[in-house]
Amino acid sequence: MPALSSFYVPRRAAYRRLAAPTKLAVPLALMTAAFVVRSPAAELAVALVVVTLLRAAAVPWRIVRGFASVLVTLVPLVLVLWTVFYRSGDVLVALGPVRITEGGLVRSVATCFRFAAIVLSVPLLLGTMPQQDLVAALRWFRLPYVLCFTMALALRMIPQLERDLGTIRDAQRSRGIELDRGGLWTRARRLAMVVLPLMTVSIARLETLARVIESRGVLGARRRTFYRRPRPGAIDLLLIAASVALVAALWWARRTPTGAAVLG
Amino acid sequence: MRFEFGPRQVAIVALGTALYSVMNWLSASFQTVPGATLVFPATAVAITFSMWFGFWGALGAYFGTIIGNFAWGTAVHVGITGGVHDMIEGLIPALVFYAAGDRLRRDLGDARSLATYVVFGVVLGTGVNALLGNLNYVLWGLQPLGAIWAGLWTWWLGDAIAAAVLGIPLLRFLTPFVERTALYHETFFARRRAEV
Repeated sequence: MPALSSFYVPRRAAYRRLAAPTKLAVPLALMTAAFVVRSPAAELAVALVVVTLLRAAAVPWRIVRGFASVLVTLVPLVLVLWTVFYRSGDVLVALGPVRITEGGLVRSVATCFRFAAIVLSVPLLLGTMPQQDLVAALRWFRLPYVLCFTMALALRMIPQLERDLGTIRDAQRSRGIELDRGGLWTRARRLAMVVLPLMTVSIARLETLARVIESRGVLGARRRTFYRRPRPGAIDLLLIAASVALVAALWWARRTPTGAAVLG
Repeated sequence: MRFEFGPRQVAIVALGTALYSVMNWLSASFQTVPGATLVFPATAVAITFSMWFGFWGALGAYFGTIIGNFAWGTAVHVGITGGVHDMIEGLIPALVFYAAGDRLRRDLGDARSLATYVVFGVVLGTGVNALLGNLNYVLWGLQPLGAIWAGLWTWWLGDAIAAAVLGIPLLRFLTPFVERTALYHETFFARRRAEV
């Protein structure tokens, strides 16, 4: 899995020109929609919308593939879990204690499409804007400043920690410690040789970081100005409203008899 | 009870979040079967940070779950509720040690402290997390209710191994180092006890 910071690749596409709050709201609305609907057809429809937007946003295939690879392991697991453990409707196959029901089969297919929609929504979000824009979008949605600042700080630390992790692994290997060889148990015990130095370095750095936050008065000022401020246009506002309306409409429709038949 | 929130607590939450996310990804190299890991190193971060930095350390695990899971392709919704049980995992042993005060050593330097950690950290905390974690997946319709027992054991095992194999050496060897810093929390919400 690549670092969180490496998902964004600048490209020219109409979707990319949307403001950061829109590019945050649309994938989140699609993820929520995937949770609201339950039928395989409706879940597939959400997944197809996500795929269409991924193409419209020109998110590189290598980024999408990184996330889609999760599905390779998830889909078989979901199929087995839902068909074996969920029983509803007519029994299709009975093998001893295992009974595959019609309802279980339908839910397993629907959950696979649900996972596909959710998993592919993530590159649509992380692959279309840099981290700074993501934090600015959270701020635009009126999330508390201290929360946005903490998130931004954490996101900035992740690449540094990954570099530290690489350095520590190399250092341990140079001492003749084979971290990637041996059984799972041996590797688990050797993991402490990497985690201990990583924690020591990080905590030592933490004191400096706390002093920097204090000296810059990050938590002191009441009103703040920002270098990066998203300025959503009419289309952005329309899309944000449409995203919220879509989720609300699906939620409401599922409560009607016709909607329940179609959406599950 | 004293409550302290300032630059140090912000830095603790941010580092906890980042470390938890990185450890979350590291667990991929310990997959036994798809979706299940033998060791989940992020557990050690949640527990040790809660033991050293109280509530603020646990908060790092909460946000770390959201960011870490998100980068794995899990919905942010699942992370928002899932972060709560990952936080509880660290809070269970931490609350016991904070409540015990000086009677238990957070560096697990005596048999009683070590036994308490094994019971509340390695067994109980991870068990509660595994149960609530599976229920969270059921809540979001990602797993059927009947599959809870199948998922519970692999989750519990992965977390318990990390709490033992990583948590014990981290607390044993790093607690004296963390105690010397200005970040160590003597009480659950603040660095220093209230002066009488």
